[in-house]
This record gives sequence, structure tokens and C-alpha cells, in this order.
Amino acid sequence: MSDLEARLRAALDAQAQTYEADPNAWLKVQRRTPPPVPRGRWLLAALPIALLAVFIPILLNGGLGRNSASDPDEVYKQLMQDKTAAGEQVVVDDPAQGKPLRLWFARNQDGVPLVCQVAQAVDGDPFGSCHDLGTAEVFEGGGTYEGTTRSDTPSAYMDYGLSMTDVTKVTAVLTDGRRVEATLHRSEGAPMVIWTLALSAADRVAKVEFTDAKGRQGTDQSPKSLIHESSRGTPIGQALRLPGAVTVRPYDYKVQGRRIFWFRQGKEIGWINLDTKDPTPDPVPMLFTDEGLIFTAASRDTAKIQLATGSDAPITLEGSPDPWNLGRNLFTLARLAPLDWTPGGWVAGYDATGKQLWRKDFPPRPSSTKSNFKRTGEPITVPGTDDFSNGPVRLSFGTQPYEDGLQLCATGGTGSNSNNPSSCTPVRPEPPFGRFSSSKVQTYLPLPGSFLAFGAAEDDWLSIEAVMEDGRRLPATLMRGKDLPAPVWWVRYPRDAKLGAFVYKVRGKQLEQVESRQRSWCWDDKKPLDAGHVFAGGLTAHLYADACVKWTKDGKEQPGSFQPAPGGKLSDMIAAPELPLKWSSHKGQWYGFTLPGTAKVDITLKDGGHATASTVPDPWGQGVRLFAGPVPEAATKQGLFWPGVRLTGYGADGRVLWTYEPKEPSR
Amino acid sequence: MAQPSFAELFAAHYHPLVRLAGLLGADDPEDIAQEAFSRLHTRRLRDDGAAVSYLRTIVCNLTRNRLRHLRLVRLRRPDPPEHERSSEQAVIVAEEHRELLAALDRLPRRQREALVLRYWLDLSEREIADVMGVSAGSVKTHASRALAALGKALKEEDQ
Repeated sequence: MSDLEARLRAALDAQAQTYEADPNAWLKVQRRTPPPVPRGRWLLAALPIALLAVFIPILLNGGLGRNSASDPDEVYKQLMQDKTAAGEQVVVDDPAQGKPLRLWFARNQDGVPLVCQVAQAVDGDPFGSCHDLGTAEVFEGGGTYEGTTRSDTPSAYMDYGLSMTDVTKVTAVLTDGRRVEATLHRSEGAPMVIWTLALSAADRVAKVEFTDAKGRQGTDQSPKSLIHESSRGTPIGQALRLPGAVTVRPYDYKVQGRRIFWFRQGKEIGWINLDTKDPTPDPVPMLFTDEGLIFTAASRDTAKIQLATGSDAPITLEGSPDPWNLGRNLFTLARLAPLDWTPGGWVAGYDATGKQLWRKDFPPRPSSTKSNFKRTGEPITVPGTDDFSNGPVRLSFGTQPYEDGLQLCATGGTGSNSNNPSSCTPVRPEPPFGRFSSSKVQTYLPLPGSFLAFGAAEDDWLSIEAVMEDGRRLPATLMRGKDLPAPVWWVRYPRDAKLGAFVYKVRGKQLEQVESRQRSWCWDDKKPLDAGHVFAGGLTAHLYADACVKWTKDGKEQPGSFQPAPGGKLSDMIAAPELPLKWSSHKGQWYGFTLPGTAKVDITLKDGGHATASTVPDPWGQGVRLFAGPVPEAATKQGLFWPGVRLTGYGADGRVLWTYEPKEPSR
Repeated sequence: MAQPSFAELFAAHYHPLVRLAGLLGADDPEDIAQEAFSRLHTRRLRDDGAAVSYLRTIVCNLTRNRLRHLRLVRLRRPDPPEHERSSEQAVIVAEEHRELLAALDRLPRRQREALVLRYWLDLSEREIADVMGVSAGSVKTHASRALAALGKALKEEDQ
């Protein structure tokens, strides 16, 4: 490799480090893709269906299809077959239908938490569904919108959703600016909290805010998240109401053309493209099986669709011509649970005479599919994980397609078996990943369930701990061995505890290395705990919850927030000579904190620019001294962070206490 | 082994894709990475294992389109103020890299893509060709021209 290539590689690595990822990115991606549809689409496209599907055989009738139970208790009973309730049932009067709406949590046989509902249209049979909390659980510090009973008929209605258990207030902001607090239904044993919001016919919710006991606000949710994709299109016909509280409506899009959408409880369940071609042309129309609803649109010649999974009796869907003259037959069947395609199955279309027009077979997807993971060496059985689903957990080194280098992978836990790892982490993380990487497997049973985090360590790591958000530290087991390509660590912690960080000690290093796993509460926190300390030049240092410190000027937050691992102090973040200060800068000002005893901090730039800042003891007992001041013009213009920058700390007597020259991290 | 789920793909590749978009010159790398995942979500791929390659391709295409759009916009209004660095971590973008990164920034977009994919992602010529949607020969041409241009730019800076 030439010198230029080596420099280019180093420059790209360094530049790449400056691009951070928004902790809410997953939520934002979810918002760009309507949650209900991906489950259905992904189901057929990529995911092992067994992970999502819970099959409950029920009686079906013909026509557009619905379950045969006309009694809400019977629907409840059918839904709860092979499930156990998790917490109390919430029964609220739905003002739109004048019938009760039941919401509750349940767990399936593997302990996977689900949210369930039974509702009843004013002119129809009750219907119900359960789905997993896979999406909801990633909304840390916030919650979800689950549905609305609002319909085209002008009447009072109800919106409802879920929030994390640490949320203490859910507030709806209406489009006219009014703020209405939702009712929270919290119960022992429930994995999340159910919120309900009674609204009058004219009310429209702009967004829902989630706030925890510390006043910290999670990510807002908008009712638009229920109709994310259809709200971008223009309706081109009246909504068609079907049994099972299903409505179907076509929309037009400038680029994608026409689509038919299926809705239930105000929520998009999925859509069919009428004009755009699928990337993999297929004679079989896409068939969706989300939340128990099976639906599709086929050309007019397909009058009937049959499908079967495993050895179950075929299910028949009768087509009905779309009322919008789109040349399609619509097929909809409401069931109480998704189909389980694990044992394989088939779908076939027939014309009016019963002649088969098309058929597609889906091969079985056994849970022990052939593994592409190439193990090297013997697996390590993790002690104390016999109680995991598919336990005990075993860790193995090996390689797998699409991933470079050696991986450390785990089998055992929910979602994997003794052959197939469910989770892997690189042994030597590549530059974008930094030095530390970890992965985890989980089990929902025994309650409250557990995570097992694991990773590969480096030879000079002395210890690793998992730090919970409440400051508790759980030491990881660190295993070394001459037969192991790298030391291996693991730590088990309960599912209902929130992980704040991993910390590890490295031989020869003064400071503990911190790998935060917290939300960006520090940066998002807008409620300082005190009036702050004002510096000359107008900067003010504020302390926020959990030892978070930030600076403001003219009421505006300055870049840079500092926070130690949970339970720690700011003083844990610095030590001489390794890192005697932490700082940031913005528009001609620099600010930060340094070691006790330091009365003055000097900065000298390579080209001779120079600045000094006096320090003051922090007023919060964090064991540091704060500073803020102007920086030289060169730094203002070109940025403070130049190689060759030299920082010096002086005592009150003018003695040099420490010097520090930041170095580019080595790899 | 089971193919990774969407959530697993997201967890493993979101941040690297943000960085890829940033290195390609995107003004909002996060937006581009999120859009790439959103597009992946709504498509059925011929091969589930092609997801990562597909994501990289989308990031390249979206960044290219966005840069084209920005160039048009800038013809009509002045550049926005430069993004402020927010912590001492930015020290890693050292002076010695600045000239090189500035020169990289001035390269034609295809040449820049070839270099970033080769020297940051360490992709093979074949893989780069797949991501960029060009032939392997083209990749070689783009990369060698880009390196020559970088070398020339740095020499001129030194003079």
C-alpha cells in the first residue's frame, strides 16, 4: 500500500468517527415504514416466519371471512388459548361504537409478551387480535400509538396505545393546541402500560408526548404513524367496510401509482400495489397475513384463493369485485392469529369454474435450518444459563457469510437453537465499530426474563462490568484460554433492568473505558436541576439529572454534553496525565471541566494562538472544576481541535500541575 | 443459519451506513441511511443476503442525487454556515487529514465513491462495482484516476 493510500485510509477512518448515529434512528426508520405492513411483508420476504407467528386454529365461515364467535368473551377465550395473561385487562367504553374495548397483555408459551385487544363494531361481530411487542419495546422512554376507534361517522371516539413502564404521563397535543392527558392503565405483571384517550368528534390529535417521573420526555408519537403510508396518497374512492372492522380503500400516488389499503381500528394493515412492478415478478399476488388478517387483491379472473399451512385444512377466500372499477377482486379474511408458515404451505388461485390458475408452494422452514455459521474450535457453555429458552447459551468463534473476520456467536435463548446462532459480534471490530463490540441473547422465561450480553475482549482488558441505569454494577465473567482466539466475556442481567453502559478496565490505563448504552437523555434533557454557574462571556454551566452537564449561552444549548457512567461523577471521567480535562467549543468560546486543584487552564495552538481560562469548583459536588472562556481567533476560525494543541493546568500558586496533548487514537 | 432480521440488520449496519453517507459527502447522512433502510423494508430482494449490498447501493445513489440537488440549490443561494464540531472527539480529524479530505471532496462523485468504498469499507473491485452499478474495469479506472488526482492536489498544496 502506498503512502497516499495509507493516509487516505487513516483520513477516512478519522472522518468517519465524526458521524454519530441518532439514538432515535430506529424509531425514525419505523416512522418511514408503516409498522403493520413490514411485519406482513417481511414475513414473506425474509424473516423466518416462526419467530412471529402464533397459530390458533379457529372456525371460519365463508364470504369475506370472519371468525365465528359472536360473543366477545368467546373471542377472548380463543385468543388466550395457549397464552397467559400478563397484568389486568383494561375495559373501556368505546364512545364510537357504544361497546366495550378490551385491551390487555399476554405471554405466549415462550414468555414472549404480546398486546391483545377485543373490540366490536356497532353493526358487527366482535373481533380481536394479538401481536408481539417487538416494535413497541424499542420505543425506549416513549411508547406507541396502537389504534383509534374514529371512523367516517362523526362521533366521539377513543385513541389508545402503549408506553414504557417508566412513563408517568402521556399527554395528547390536539391540533388546536389544547393539551389533554391520557389515562394510564398500569398493572402488576404487565410489560408495558396501556394508555387511552377519550376524544370528542371534533378533536384531532397532533401528537402524543411521553414523560417519565424525572420529567424527561421520550419521543413523541403522532396518530399519523397509524396511517403513515396512506396519508401520503390521495384517496380515489369511498372506503369499503368489511366484517371484522376492516375497511379497504384505494389511493393514488404520483410515483407509485394506485394502491389498495386495508385498515383496522384506524391502522393501516397493509397495501397492494396495482401499478408498480414487484422487483421479483411473481404470478402470485402478494398475500399478507398480519395480525390475523389475510388479504390481497388479484386480477378479476381469480375468483377464489385457497391456502394451507402444514397439514391444516385449506382456508378459502372468496373474491369480490372491487367497487372502484380497478379490475380487481378483493380477498379478505379476518382471523384471530397470523398463519404459521413454519411447516410450509401453499397458495393457489382458481377461476369461477374451479380451474386452478396459479399456485405457489412455500417450503417448510424448520427451526433447525442448515447453518451457514462455520464454527472454529469448541463452543463455550455459559454457566447458569440452563434456564434460558433453548438453553444453555453457548458461545462459539467462527465465520459467517457477509461478515468479515472472526465472529463470536451465541446459540440458545429465544429465537435460536443449538445449531443456529441468534446473535454475533465481531472479535476484532473494524474501525467504524471502535474497540468495543458486544451482542446479546435473551430469554423471556423464567420471568422477568434475562439478557446475556457477551463479546470478545482484548488481552489487556482486566475486567468488564455492565452498569445498569440505576448505577448497579454487574461484573462480567472474563474467560481467557490459550485455545481461544480472544478472551471472552459475558454478563447476565434481568430484562426489566435497563442497561446504561459497559465499562472495562485496561492494563496501564487510569480511566475506566465507558461504552454507553443509554439513550441520549443527557443531550435531550431540557430541565436543569439548578440555575447554573454563570461565567464571564455569558456561558452558563448547568447540571441535569444523572450527573449530566451542559453549557448554555443566551438560553441556547452549546454543543457538547458530558455524562459519566450511571452512578458515577464527572470526576470519574478525568485523570492526570491520561485525560486531565474534558472540553468542547463553540463560536469563539471553549468550556469544560478539569481536575481539582487546577486554578487555570491554558491552551496553546501549534501556530502560536493561545488562551487562558480560570476555573471554579463545580457547585454540585461532582469533584471537578469548571472553566469557560474565549479561544484565539485562529481557533475560532478554523476550529479548536488541531494537532499540536497543548493544554496545561496550573495550580493556584502558578505551578504546572499537568500538561496534555491530545493524540489521534491508535488502532 | 437464519438470515438476519430487519432489526438485526439495522443494529449492525445503520451506523456504518451513516458514516458511509457522510464520507460520500452527504449533508444529512442520517436521513440517507434511514431512507435506505426504509426502502429495504418495502422491497423483496432476490437474495436475502444481498441486503447489505443493496443498502450500500441505495446510500450511494441517494447521496449522489442529493449532491446533485444541492449543487442546483446552491446556484440560487449562498452556502449554509459550516457545521460546528461538538466535542473534543473532533480532534481525530487532524490537520494532516484536512488537506486530503478537502481534496477528496473536490473529486468527481464516482471517483470519490470508488475511494471510499475501497479504502474505508475495504470492498473488492467486484463488490464496489456492484454497489456503484458499474463494471469492475470502471471501478479500476475511477480509483486510479482518483488517487492520481489526490496525489496531484496534495503536491500542489505543499508547494
